Amino acid sequence: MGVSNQPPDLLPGTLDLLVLRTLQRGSMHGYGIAQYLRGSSGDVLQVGESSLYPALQRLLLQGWIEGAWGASENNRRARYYTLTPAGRKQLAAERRGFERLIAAIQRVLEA
Amino acid sequence: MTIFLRRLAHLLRRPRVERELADELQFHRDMARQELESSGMSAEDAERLARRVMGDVTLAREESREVWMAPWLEGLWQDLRHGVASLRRSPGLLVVSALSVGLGIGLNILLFMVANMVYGHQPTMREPDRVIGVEPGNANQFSHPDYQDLVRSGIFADALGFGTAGLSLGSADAMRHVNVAVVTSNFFDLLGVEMSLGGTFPPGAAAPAREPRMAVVTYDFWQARLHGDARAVGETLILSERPFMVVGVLPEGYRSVFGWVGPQIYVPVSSFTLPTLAERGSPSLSVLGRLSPDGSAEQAQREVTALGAELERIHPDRDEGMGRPASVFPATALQFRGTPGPFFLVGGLVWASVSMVLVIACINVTGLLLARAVLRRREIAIRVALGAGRARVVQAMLVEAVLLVLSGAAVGLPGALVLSRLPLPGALGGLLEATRGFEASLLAYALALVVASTLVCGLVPALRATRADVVTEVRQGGEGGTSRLRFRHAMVAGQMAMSLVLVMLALLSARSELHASVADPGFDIDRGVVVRLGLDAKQYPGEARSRVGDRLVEQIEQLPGVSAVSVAGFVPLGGDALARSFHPAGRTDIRGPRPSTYSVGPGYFRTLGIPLRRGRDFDDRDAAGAPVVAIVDETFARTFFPGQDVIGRLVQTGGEPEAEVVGLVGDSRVDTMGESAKSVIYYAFAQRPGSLVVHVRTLPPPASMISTVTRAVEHVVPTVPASVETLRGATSLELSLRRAGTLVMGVIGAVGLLLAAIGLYGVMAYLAASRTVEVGIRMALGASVGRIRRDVLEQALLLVASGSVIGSAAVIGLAPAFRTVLVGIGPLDPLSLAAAVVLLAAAGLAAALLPAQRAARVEPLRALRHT
Repeated sequence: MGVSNQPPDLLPGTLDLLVLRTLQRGSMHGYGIAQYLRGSSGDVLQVGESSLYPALQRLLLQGWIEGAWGASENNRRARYYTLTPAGRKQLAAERRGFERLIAAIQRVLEA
Repeated sequence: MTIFLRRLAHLLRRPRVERELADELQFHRDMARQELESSGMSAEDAERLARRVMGDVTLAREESREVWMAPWLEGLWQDLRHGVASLRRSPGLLVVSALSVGLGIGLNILLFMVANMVYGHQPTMREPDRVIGVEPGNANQFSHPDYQDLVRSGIFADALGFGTAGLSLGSADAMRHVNVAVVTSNFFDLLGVEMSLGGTFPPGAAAPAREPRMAVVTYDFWQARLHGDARAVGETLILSERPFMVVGVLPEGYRSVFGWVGPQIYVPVSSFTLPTLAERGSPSLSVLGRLSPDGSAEQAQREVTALGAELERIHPDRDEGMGRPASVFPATALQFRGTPGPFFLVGGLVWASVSMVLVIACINVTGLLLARAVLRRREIAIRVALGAGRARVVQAMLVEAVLLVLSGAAVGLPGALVLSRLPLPGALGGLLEATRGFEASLLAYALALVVASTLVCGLVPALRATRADVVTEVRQGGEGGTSRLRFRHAMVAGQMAMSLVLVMLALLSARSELHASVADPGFDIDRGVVVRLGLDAKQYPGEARSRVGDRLVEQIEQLPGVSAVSVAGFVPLGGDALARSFHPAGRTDIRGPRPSTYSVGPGYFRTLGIPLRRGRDFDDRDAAGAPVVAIVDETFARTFFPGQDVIGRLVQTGGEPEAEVVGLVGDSRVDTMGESAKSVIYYAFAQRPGSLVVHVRTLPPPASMISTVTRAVEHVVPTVPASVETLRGATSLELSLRRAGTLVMGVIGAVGLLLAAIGLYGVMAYLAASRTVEVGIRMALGASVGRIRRDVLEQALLLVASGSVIGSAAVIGLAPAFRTVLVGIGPLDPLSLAAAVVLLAAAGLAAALLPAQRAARVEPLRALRHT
């Protein structure tokens, strides 16, 4: 406790939002999420385990995602995360909030 | 809330969840390495890079775990695990605490089971707050005609009446005497009790005028005597040689209005079951009324009083005094109407005693935790210094106390349940047998005990160990602890004081029992044989009963070895008074200090060895129809005719006719051994026949005469159930209750003393251990081994002495409370007190012996080298 869970270059709470957004595309395991985040951000967002897994636990605790064991693409046991209906709602809400925040920041920067 | 549940689920599945997370991280790592390898990197480089890129695995795990932990939950969990681990490292502490607290909690649970059964008895009825008991101004019960007028008056929505009758059950070869409930036909309907089989009494067919021969039986009776057969309804019971058809079976768990030991058979009121059916003014039915929807108890009281005045006006000779204020009381208070105070007092005393045992047990744990806190002072100080709040440290210590108390409960609760099911000898076993076993209220009580014990055990050490000055003291490197020791000494002295009170109570109880068994009851308890006859009232109305009595007396008088025979309506000290206190029905009027009244035949006083002081005994002249006469005892004469000659006076009491006093006899105990002599009026049995008892005075030891007397009785009345026993046997109910009481108090006293001794041992052992250096120095300076040993023992005796002083003061303070249950000794009986103090001192010395020995074995050099 008391230690920041986020890499310094991410706004607080943003990682949770990004994970939810990623899972909106379908079930995915932890490594897949990290891969996707890196790929879709053009290698900007390198999410480490020490950030990703606590974030996943937080989302599990809130009931926004669910985890289930399944077989990975190379036939290994992996834990797949799925968005729950509550998670979907949360994603929509956070997204709106985030867009408002970004717009506000931009306005400040351009003023 | 759902989040809390998810946290909890996570906590419970923790090992698995952790393993899964590790698997997941490993998978992640492997995938990353594979990707790097496939891009052409060597295996080692890929491994290293994957490690670096992916960050710290331990950190990931730690933080993932933390997500699931609310700070308080995490703290509690941590304390719990820490507590379990540290207790596992101190099995001694755990065992002593579990046994101490287990004994305390077990005793409390046992008592609760008994008390719940006896005091917690609430009769089964619908809307009990709308049902009230009602008594007329001149008695505790109504006669049947007066009861009918009460029902007709419309004061209550409806009213029921009930009493008891002694009848025989079964036919000639297997006959036994049973107490049967005699109730009005609306009894179960008014209470709102549904039968588990069959139905209630049909109002029309069960009306007294139709002489109904029906019966409702309890579930237990149905199980035991009717084999639990569903076809039991319609079967016939033979009651006093008349067939009664079973119409209904009460539900299991039905609680009767008669108290916790109720009759097994209910029959409707008729001239057969209630011989006084037509006699106005002859109290025979206890009455409960259901208030009408707009009625209140106060209003009912006024209206019943008015009705009584009206009835007294119409029947001045029969209903005399009925216009005096009636009394009403909640139906739930029915069971203890007229119960003598000592009955509650004894319950209170036992409860206070077992509570004290639990407190003594808890103080043992407190002492151990205090000692432990001293050892852990540095740890605690460090935790506080590192920023743990005081509340947090207190919580950790309380969690430990909870664990210790729970281990005690885990011993005590099952122990009590097992013990209550074991066949114990005597009255004790019977009492426990009737308890209802495990139920929700028991668990609630156990929980309350655990909470209370935890606070006693844990709060004091926790608060003391975390006091700011202790923390500062440790920071300054001091040893400190004198105030702590003083505190523990005070606690042990308190334990000693409490165990002195307990031991004192046990000794008083034992001495009372001894006195009661040898005390002079005012009659010859060891010279008599008693025959109780189960004559049923219909077959043998008053005069016939007298005649049977006369024939029995004639027959038995002829027997060799018999020196005197007499009839009477009771057995002195025969438990009639005790039984009466449990059964509201059938008791005599016990309001105010009125004289007790008994019926006895000619020769009763000679047979029992009660001296005739003046005047004459009853004789053949005092037959039914002759002028009514009475004999009184000395207390009566002293109370009502002080300094005058009582012979020739006219006396009258209760509903009795006026009688001329013809004799004066010595005082004797009639109800209990412990009572002071009371006023008694004896009437002639022929003029006032009661239930028939024949007293026989024998020359040889009574026990040897029983078979002879039994044969004589069978010869005269072959079909009447009779019990023949020695007078001492017949009077033994009180003694066996006293024996059970002594046993209970003895066990409590012994357990209390043992626990207090353990407490003393604990503090002495601690003292000896913490003074090793001091002892070493003193020995180096020439103190002898004996001297050191004596010092430790002296210290122990000092604690015993201060405990004795406090305990004696407590005994003096409590004395008035238990004076009434003692026989032959006062509550400050010096012998008991002296014996208690000696016992305490012996236990104290025994407890201190080992620590003293250990202290004396200290080798000066080694002790000094360790400073």
